[in-house]
Amino acid sequence: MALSIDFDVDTDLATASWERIRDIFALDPATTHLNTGTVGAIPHEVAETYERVTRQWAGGLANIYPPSLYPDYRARIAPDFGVDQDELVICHNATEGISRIIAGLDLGPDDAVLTTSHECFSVLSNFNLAHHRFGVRVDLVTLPSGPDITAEQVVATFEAALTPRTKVMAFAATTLFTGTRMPIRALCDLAQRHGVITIADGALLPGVLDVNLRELGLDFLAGSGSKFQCGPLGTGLLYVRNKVFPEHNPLPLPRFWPVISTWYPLMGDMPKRTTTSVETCNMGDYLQSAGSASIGRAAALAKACEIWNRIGRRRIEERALELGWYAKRRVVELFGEPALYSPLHDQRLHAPLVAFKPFRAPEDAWNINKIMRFVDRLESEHRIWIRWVEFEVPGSPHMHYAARVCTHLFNNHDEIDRALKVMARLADEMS
Amino acid sequence: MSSSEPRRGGTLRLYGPGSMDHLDPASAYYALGHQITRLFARQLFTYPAVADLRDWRAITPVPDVAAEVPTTYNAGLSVNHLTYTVRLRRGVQWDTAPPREVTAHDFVRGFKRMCNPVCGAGAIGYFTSTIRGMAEFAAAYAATVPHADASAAELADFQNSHEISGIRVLDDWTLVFELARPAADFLHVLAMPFASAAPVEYDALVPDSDRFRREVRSNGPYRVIDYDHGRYLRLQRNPVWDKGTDDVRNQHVDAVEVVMERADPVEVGRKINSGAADLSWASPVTEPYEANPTDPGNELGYALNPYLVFNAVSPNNGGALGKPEVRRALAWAFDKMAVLDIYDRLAAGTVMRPARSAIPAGNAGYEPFDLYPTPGDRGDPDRCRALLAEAGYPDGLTLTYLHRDVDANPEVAKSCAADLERAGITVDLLPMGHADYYAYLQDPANAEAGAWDLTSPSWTPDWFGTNGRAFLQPMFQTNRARGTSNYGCYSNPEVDRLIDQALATVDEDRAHAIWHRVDELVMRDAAIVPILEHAPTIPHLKGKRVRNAIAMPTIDRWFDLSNLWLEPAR
Repeated sequence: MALSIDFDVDTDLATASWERIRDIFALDPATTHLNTGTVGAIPHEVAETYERVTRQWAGGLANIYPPSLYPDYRARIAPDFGVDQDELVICHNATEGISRIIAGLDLGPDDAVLTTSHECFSVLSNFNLAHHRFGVRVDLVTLPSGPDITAEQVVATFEAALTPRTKVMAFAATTLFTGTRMPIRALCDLAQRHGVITIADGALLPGVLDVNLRELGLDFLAGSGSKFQCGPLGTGLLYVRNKVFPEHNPLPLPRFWPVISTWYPLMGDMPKRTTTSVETCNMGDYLQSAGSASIGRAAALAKACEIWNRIGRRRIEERALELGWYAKRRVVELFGEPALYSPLHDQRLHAPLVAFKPFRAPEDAWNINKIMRFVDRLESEHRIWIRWVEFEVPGSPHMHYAARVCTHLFNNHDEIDRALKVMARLADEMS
Repeated sequence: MSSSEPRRGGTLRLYGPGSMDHLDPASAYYALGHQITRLFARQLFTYPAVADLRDWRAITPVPDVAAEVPTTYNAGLSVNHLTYTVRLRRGVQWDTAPPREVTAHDFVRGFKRMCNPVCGAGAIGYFTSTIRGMAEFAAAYAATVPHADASAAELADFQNSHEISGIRVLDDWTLVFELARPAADFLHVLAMPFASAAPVEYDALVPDSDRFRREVRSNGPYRVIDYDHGRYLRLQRNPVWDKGTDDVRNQHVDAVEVVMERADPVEVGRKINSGAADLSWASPVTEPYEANPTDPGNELGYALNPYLVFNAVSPNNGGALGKPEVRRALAWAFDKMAVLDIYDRLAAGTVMRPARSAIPAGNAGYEPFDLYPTPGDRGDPDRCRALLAEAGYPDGLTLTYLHRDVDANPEVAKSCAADLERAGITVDLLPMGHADYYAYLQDPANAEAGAWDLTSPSWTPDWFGTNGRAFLQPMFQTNRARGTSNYGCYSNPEVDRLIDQALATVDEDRAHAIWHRVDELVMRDAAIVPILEHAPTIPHLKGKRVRNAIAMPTIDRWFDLSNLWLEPAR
């Protein structure tokens, strides 16, 4: 069993070496975890918090409804993302968050949503539902990919697809297929110029990028608590802009219905949404209040966030990006630059995810069996955990299948190096 | 022995005047024959036999040789719904010597064979408009081997040196289909018997030739032992078929025998009731109807039975039938109720009513409308005559009416001919045996030669649910290749364009509107005259020893012969 390490004071983690920090995670030393984009490794302290708090509430007769609103946990987590408690909800995952955003918007047959074919199923599926339910049109663009793409190209792709009907722009904060960190601020500027609502699928944002959601100018973001934030499974964060800061987003707050809510009034409507920087209601409460909830889950997520603060969010971002950059350079050395589906030359688009084609033959890029075998063999023969991804490439009639490597603060250069060398040997053998 | 327990043994005997159109799965397109095809030719997906037609599973494809239905969750279906990865189950065998496993390559061969210029698939458009590169493959095939009497070597040579770019074999057990556009009905398309696997031995055989019929191979529970086209068919157990590889079929009876003889429904019924036969072969002989007025199968989607097709490329009468105004004039003539009376006298026990549109009720794209309304659907020969004169034919026309010579068909032909004669048109009736009828219609050379001017076939939807294309695409999309189901070679670029547009959308409401628009256009062009719409046929009569006979809507409610068994005669 892995050892739980206690750090007594905050400064311990703030200055601890990365080797020492690695020990706080429940990681099997015999495995190489390069798949945080699917699920993170949780710190021992987080698991213990979950267990302890769950035990505290087990069989108790206390009134569980007030704490199920998670007022304290939300208040503690919200500043980590530059927002207030009334703008933040602890949900079950990014999918739930996205679903509630899309279901809560006033969308009708005269409206169009602009999004990309590189979004997660949760985004595309819920927009398709809205299309059938409300008649909203869904316009899809396929993002460019590869080492040469630039932030300007990404923005231009959206700009070219905007129409007078576009009411919403939805995009990933970091795409899960090619690991492209989207130019969120620039996309929000574009959207705001056209009076368009912005939604970010931030599944891969919390816990890796040190961001201020308000400053990014987004209207909505749904993020995962269990990926880069390394909280327990079944945790997510939902940000809903609930006040107007003209310097970040001057647009009025959109009409928004807090679907799945026991807080919505039994008679009458919600308070009118504010037009200033002072909220007129606690939108977070409206969304958070949905019957009883697991207190342990929220406590554990709050603990994960607290640990991140102790280490330093900026420090974590730098570490994760540096490891990602290292992995990307090693991929280029071992497989060649054309093998990359992820951005390379425009560092603004960097995220700690690298997607690449491991095999030499071009047609192997659209051979799902080969990439599945590759990932399976890495796991079964070498205990290296990555994942394969599939996505469209502009101009290609094929779905492309790539190996995706995610790096996070608990990884190190040696294991990345070793893992990529194994991948190169295996790909060579399989080519 | 309880009748609820399957009993092994016996020979199932079918008797009647029908015929398969083709034995070759690449071209067989007659629902009756699909009872037989199902016994020896397997597809990637097929329909299960489900007794209760209210159960959605009765019309939903399930894996056949495929191991599972591709979904986004099992990585079989891409997010954009353009790539299907189909994994094959292991252990499905050809009855070759020695037995050989069915592989992905056999399916690719099957898809290529569908495009053959000798005897191609009747609904090739389902595939060419859906699978990337298949239209180009079919066009190149037709250009390279442009003659209908091509040798097996010529056909194999083309097939083995050209690929369909949107069908890829990843390994012996994995096929990838890349679509030209998303198609919500793609699994239904793959469940068509055209899409059967084809063993390498077929490279030596001309499609549906006599030799093919002698050497046809099986990967299902039965194999063809004896086949005399239009006369006799016998299948026996396929010894290498393994139930462990087949979730939908069984092998209860020892053999299936079909005796194809001229016989009217009364004779067929007598034979079944006397125990000399077990099931009808084509004849509409029905079970007592006391319990069926609310048959849930009626709601699935009606069939056109019969409808009149005009030969739009007939050179007869100075090419008059190529003119929409002439066909429109003729469309007024027919007394649909008289035809209904003919069917009524058969006491077929099915729900039927006059048809007014190419898409009958219950199918996607259906909207009620009638461009040629006459009081009581009795027809208006005078109006026909007047419009014909307006169109430049004051002295009428002389038309050759091709019809099957069995069951109600001769009477229907006589009735329709009488309607035309009342409008001043001379009609020559041309009877033809069941065995040759559809194959004759599927050869555009006969239409081009003016061998017939009008005929009265029937059309049942190939599948139910999202089936907007199941009438309009095979019946009206331009297709003059051998095997076509657009028998009259009707062609209207606007119709083709709209069909393409309907196929291009995944929005069901929008597709519905476009299919309806196509329906209006083909009716305005009077490419056909819908006469009656039938509930998807009838509760067919079963012999006393037949158990577990489950009607399959996708084969016109004929029975799944692979799941029934026979009780010993008492």
